[in-house]
Amino acid sequence: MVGAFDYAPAIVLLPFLSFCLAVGVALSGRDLLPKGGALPGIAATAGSLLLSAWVFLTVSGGETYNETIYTWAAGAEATGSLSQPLELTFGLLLDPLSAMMLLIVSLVALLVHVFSLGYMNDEGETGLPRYYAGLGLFTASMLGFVVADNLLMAFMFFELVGLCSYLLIGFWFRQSGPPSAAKKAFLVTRFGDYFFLIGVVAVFATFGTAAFAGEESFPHLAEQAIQGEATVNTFLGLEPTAWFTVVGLLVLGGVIGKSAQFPLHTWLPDAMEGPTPVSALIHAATMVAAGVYLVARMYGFYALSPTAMAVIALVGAFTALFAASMGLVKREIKQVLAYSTISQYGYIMLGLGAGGYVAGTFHLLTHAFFKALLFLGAGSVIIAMHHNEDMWDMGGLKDRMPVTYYTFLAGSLALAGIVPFAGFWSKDEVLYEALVHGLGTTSGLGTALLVAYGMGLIAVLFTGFYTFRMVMLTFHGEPRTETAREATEPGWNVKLPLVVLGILATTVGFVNMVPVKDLTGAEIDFLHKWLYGTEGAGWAEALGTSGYNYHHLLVADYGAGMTAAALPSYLVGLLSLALALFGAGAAYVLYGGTDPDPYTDKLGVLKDVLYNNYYQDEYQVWLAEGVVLPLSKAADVFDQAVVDGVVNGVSSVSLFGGSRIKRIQDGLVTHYAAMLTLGLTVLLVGFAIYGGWF
Amino acid sequence: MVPVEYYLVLSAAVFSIGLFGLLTRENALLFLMSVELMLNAANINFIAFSLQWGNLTGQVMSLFVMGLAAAEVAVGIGIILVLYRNFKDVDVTVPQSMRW
Amino acid sequence: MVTAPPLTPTFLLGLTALAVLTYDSVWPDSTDGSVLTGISVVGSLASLAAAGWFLTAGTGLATDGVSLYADAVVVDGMSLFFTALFAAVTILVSLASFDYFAGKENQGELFGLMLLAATGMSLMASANSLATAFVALELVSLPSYALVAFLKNDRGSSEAGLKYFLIGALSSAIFVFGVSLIYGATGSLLLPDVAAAFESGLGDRVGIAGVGVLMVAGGVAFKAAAVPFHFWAPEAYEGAPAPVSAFLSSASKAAGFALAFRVFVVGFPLGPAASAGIDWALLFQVLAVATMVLGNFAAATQDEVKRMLAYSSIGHAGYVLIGLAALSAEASTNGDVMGAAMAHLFVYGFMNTGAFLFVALAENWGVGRRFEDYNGLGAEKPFAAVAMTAFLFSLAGVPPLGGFFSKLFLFAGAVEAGLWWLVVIAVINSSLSLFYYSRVVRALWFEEGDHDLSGAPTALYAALAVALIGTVVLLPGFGPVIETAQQAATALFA
Repeated sequence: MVGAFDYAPAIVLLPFLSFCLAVGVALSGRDLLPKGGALPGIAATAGSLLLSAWVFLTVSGGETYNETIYTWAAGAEATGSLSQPLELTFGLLLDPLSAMMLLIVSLVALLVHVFSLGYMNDEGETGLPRYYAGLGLFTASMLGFVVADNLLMAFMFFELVGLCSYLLIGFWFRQSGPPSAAKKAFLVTRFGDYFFLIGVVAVFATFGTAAFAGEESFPHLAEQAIQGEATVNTFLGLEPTAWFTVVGLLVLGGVIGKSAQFPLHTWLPDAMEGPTPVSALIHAATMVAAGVYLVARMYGFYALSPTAMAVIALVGAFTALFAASMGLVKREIKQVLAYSTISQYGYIMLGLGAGGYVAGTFHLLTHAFFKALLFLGAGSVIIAMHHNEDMWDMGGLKDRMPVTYYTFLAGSLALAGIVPFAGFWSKDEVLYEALVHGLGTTSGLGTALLVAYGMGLIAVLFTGFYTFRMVMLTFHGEPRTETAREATEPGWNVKLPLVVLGILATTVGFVNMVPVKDLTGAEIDFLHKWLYGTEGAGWAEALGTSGYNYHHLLVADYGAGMTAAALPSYLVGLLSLALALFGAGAAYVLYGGTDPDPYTDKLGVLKDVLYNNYYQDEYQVWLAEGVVLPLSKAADVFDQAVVDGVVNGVSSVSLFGGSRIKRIQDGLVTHYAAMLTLGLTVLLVGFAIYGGWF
Repeated sequence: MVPVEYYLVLSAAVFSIGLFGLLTRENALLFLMSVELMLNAANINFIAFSLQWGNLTGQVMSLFVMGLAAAEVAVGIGIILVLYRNFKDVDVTVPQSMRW
Repeated sequence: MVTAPPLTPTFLLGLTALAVLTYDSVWPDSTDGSVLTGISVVGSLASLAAAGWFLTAGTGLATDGVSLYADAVVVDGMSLFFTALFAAVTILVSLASFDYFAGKENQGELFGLMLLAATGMSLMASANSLATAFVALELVSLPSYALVAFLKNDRGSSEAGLKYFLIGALSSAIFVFGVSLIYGATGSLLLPDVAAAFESGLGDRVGIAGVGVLMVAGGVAFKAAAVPFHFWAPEAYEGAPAPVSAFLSSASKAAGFALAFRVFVVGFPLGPAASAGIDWALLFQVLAVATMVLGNFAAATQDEVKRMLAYSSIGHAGYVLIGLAALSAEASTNGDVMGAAMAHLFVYGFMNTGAFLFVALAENWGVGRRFEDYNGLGAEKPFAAVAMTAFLFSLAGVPPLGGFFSKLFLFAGAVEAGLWWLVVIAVINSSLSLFYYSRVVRALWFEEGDHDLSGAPTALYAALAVALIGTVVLLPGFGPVIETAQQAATALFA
């Protein structure tokens, strides 16, 4: 019986095919594809979406899939105390988490493709086959990353995602900004990926496998090793738990780079130089999501280490607050959105680190939709504003672009976390998990979670403020420029994705209304059930990637050792809702008038600090120029003088030697005969003496 | 019966004379003759050892060597003729256009 | 039921030579080489097919071999492997000769001599007696002298022929004197009997045997162009017509090694020989180092492509000598390392022939011989230049070309045998070789040049294409080659 899983590889291959097609056309140099390659891309992502939906339905039926498809390298013997030789494989893991993510990625990718028709094609951009080739490969890499069944395969697709973001951010490579932004994105994320790569090697060296799920997976082996039921290789003389923490933190390096967490977040605002649909794709569904998805994917491994959990939660919470504070003062609409992305991914990290596997995943889901919506809405505004992104040049767009306004508003309400929009439910659950685990856990982890909760709560206030500042400045009041006065709404290919996402951003939160469940007792926490499965049976037992399993690890004394305090979730929710409303209200009061003043100027020095992103770029540049550069120069001197000197010396000695050696071939055949005889005689005498022949 | 060592000394002497001639003469034909001497030194060995070991292998081999020596001279003379045609001399030290 | 005689591949080469000579004696004045080329290619192909068939059809040859003519000749995996190589090189060179010698006189003699030499090489690989070895050696050498001097009115060709002949005559005299001493020490010329005498102890005849072994080594070193018997090689390869250079540097060299492998491994078993003080593995270690250092260092400073290739050919002889140098009485890796050497010779048969054929092509076009004369050929004749680039990089051992794998196996085998110092020297030489090979590549592709080239000679291009396919297809097909070679080599040690 051929089922959805047999077609699952096609989910990845379809966008790849559209990439190949677009590359082929681009190489041919002729305009063979209608719409510059958009239609194959749309068809491919639509196909992926359909297949993903099919996979989603099949997974809903309780079936999962975890198979190796291709072994591309296999070791001959096992190393250390491992039982199996290494195998490097490609395979698919389709469980509720990846099925959900497939749906998100393919849906957002499809909408971005459609939106690009309006943003790129209708604006008469050149190089469209290159653009659509990049989008296709980007989508394919992310889908491949999502379905990866082992860490190495995940790493490879992770890198491909990074490459594609480089290509797309630098799409307008003839201007000065985009190429350098692309380089920055590539290098900063690559810096994190070095740690990830070492982590992958460490996982292989430790467990001999990098599989995510099943009996022979590395999270499972790690659990057994801590309990003394399995043997693994550990290094640096560390105990298993400590060593697993080190490995987990190494992999986390890649996550921090890709998901733009502090201190590797600096590439993301610059990445706004790329086309806006690409920003939507990067922020909502692909590149940035890849990092946190990886944490969720190997959650069973992190759940074993309280230290790693605390680091994840603290990094996430700090990033959420830090980025939100910078979003308060930005002038460009996409800059505000960029910092909100960083901040929201901080929340997701906080949720995951606080033991809220479902909460973090839930926020990933809702954020994907409302952030894609906001970016596409911003894109629509930018089209109307003829690529002027300064919010102080806008105003009053509400009446001229109603579809954009209302969908954007839905997204903003979701972002700010106003009930009943999607973001409220998920953000609320993240904060709830942090609070209850912080209060319940007695170890240092509990304290860390409480600190994280505090930072997250303040960030809610900031979020509400900057979101509505953006809405007010863009859409309300009187138009402040001629362009804004004459703005018109773009065509269907812009509006359609906006409407689809607007509906989703409003409603998707209903899949997991935990506070309502607590109030009414109705069993409506669908996402929760979806990710938990049935305890001790079915896929939850076979794969070990279910919420039950993670919950078990989190509370176990050999795991993170968390305890949840008893608190009604609606009370916590009310608190954050009140803060969000307060922030939003403040923004309305300050910026809601017909002609708002630039209040941020009154912040003085603080505004400069915030506007310049706490001088993050400056200090990193100082690090590069003040510390690394002198070291590199010293290394260069060493290289030039010593290494090159040796190499050059060797080559000139060789050439000189060669020019001498060839002199014995002097052209006189009698000399040849003499030297031949001499050589033979020397050999004869030498060996006669050596061998004692006579 | 003459001990086999004597034959060895004789053949070694003939071989060395051939080698000496080969190293000192510049005339290509003398070069050829010297090689003939060296080959015949081997023949002396073959025949002497054939007697020593009491089998005919050595004697047959010496016939082969003679036959091949003749063939070698035939080719050699041909090449020397070509040499003379191109260099107007049979001095082996004249052609040295290719070296190093 | 009629069964094919085991020597069929050798016979086919010899019969083809006779067919060529018969045709030539009927139409002696013909200057059209197409029929001669056709006969040579078809005959060599038949020989190649027969050898390949015997090798693969599992005729049981790979293990024991078949002894013929009172044990004077043996047909086994190794002899068939080398015969296949000789036949393949003969095909390439015959094809190239059609264009290179077009319109020249005495083409019948050319093809006849070439095929006779190939027959002799095949016989060398089968020789199981020192008498057969000597006859076969001369059967290769005598036609080779004539081939080198084939261009009668060309001073370079006749000078090369003279030098080759004089050094060859001296070397064969040394060889045959060595054989006579071996005979004196052991009482037999048959390799198994010689080995038996070595194993039962040489008594006070060790000295005679030792001098004999060294002189025999000199004879094969001459064929293989190894130091100090290499002096003929640069001149002969440079002065000879380029297809002949290709033939000599690939096939003739391989024949020398085929003889060396069999004579030393079968005839002078290393264990008894070394304990008697005749440690020929050490001798080959010395020769290997001297040969590769001299070949590569001298190649690095050449001005002419053809002479550079000649020296590089000496360098490669040094690498292949590792196949003998890394043998030891106790090791179990002997078959592997010698098999790797055989595989390297096989790959070398394609890439080196190909490189010389490109030189032949350049001579055919009338561009000069120096590196600068090749400037800009890549832009004008891309296919030929791509092929040449592949040959050169393969010669240098750049992955993933065939030459990389054969070198890798060879060096790995030597390291396993404990000769890491030899491998270090070989790797240094190999990287030096990349330098001088890439000089040609740079000239072909990165320099500007101005040429007036006359078309693309079909047969030469076909030969280049076949050599290129050989060099490139040996990538995925390297598994069977190295397995066959190592199996055949292991059989010798059984």
